[in-house]
Amino acid sequence: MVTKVILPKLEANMEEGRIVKWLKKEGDKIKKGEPLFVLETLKAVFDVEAEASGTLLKIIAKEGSNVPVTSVIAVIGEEGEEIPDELNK
Amino acid sequence: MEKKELIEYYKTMLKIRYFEEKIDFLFTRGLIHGTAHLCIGQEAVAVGACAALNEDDFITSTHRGHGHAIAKGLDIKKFMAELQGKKDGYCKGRAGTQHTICIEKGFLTNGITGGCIPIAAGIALAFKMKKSRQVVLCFFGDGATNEGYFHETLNIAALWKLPIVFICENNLYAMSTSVRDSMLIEDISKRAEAYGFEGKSIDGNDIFIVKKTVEEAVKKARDGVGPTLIECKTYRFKGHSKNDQCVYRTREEEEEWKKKDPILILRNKLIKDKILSEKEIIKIEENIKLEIEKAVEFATESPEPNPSSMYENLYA
Repeated sequence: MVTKVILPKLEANMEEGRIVKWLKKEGDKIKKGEPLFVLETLKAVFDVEAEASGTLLKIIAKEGSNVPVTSVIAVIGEEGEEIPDELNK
Repeated sequence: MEKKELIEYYKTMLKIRYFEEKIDFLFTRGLIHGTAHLCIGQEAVAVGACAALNEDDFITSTHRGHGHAIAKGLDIKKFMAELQGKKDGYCKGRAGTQHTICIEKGFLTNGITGGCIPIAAGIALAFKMKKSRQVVLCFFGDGATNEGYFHETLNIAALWKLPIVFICENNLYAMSTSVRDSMLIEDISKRAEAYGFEGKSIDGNDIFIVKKTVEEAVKKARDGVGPTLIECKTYRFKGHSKNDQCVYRTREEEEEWKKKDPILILRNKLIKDKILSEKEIIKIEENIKLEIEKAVEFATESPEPNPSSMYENLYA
């Protein structure tokens, strides 16, 4: 089963965040706890760690985009694993 | 300590750790409102200190209070619902992480740094006047000991021989300020001397030392001898709050303290002394994870408070 990577809420009044940079490319292996992307909020810039190990199957939110908190921004899973349709738009 | 007790302490410490990890996760999903300060790494202080109490004794907690609440016996389902602002929470979802109160369990907290210190003295004074032989454990952090009401309260508590034990959880940082930058003394417990009572500095990651030291202080408080200040030296593994990147401390320092993880220390002891097998411990860990999931389920299913009830329980 794939793991959805979400834009995490990190501050009390945070509504959205900007993806500054992806630290992995699609197809790269990643371990739980490794930095996955750089997130900018109104207050600070964070390295956000992966919540699951596997392969970064798909990046949904592009670098530089502003994204509401809790929306799905990427998918992690087994290499070659099929991505469910609702995440594959 | 009895074997059965040791296993109970291990379970409670794990329950706190997994509860906090779940809060960390839920916060990123927008399901915990306001802020959240996690006590991961400090579990031995809460569990060791509360183990020295009778059920009708009271504790006052801090902004970093989830561990104290669980150690004092709050039900994690109702507590989880409270942290999510739900109707079935301890305070009907109105108090959240910073202000949860459960009088039946003898638990009060307040989000202001050191805000509960004078409140604890007030409770202790009530116990003394009622001659109830109950005791108050008053928790606070290192930062709170630089606040005025810490000093005022210690003085009056000593003068009136209040049945109170002051427990300083010194995790070395007040938000991002190191204790080295905010006081000249090495041991915060020395501050008790200025008010004429005993202070002790101990390893807060060793549950045996914490329990034994607090037991002695509780006995003194109960017998009318007066207060004690116990400084428990410990470390929070996570940041001050969720958006803290810990730029004020080194990754090496964090790794050194993780070797002194209180849960790991107790786990190793349980195995070494043949109290539990690796297999039995894994079973306990799985069961507690399940218990946390059930608490989340309970909180998720609990309704939001009805807006028409917003004027209930208002006294002002």
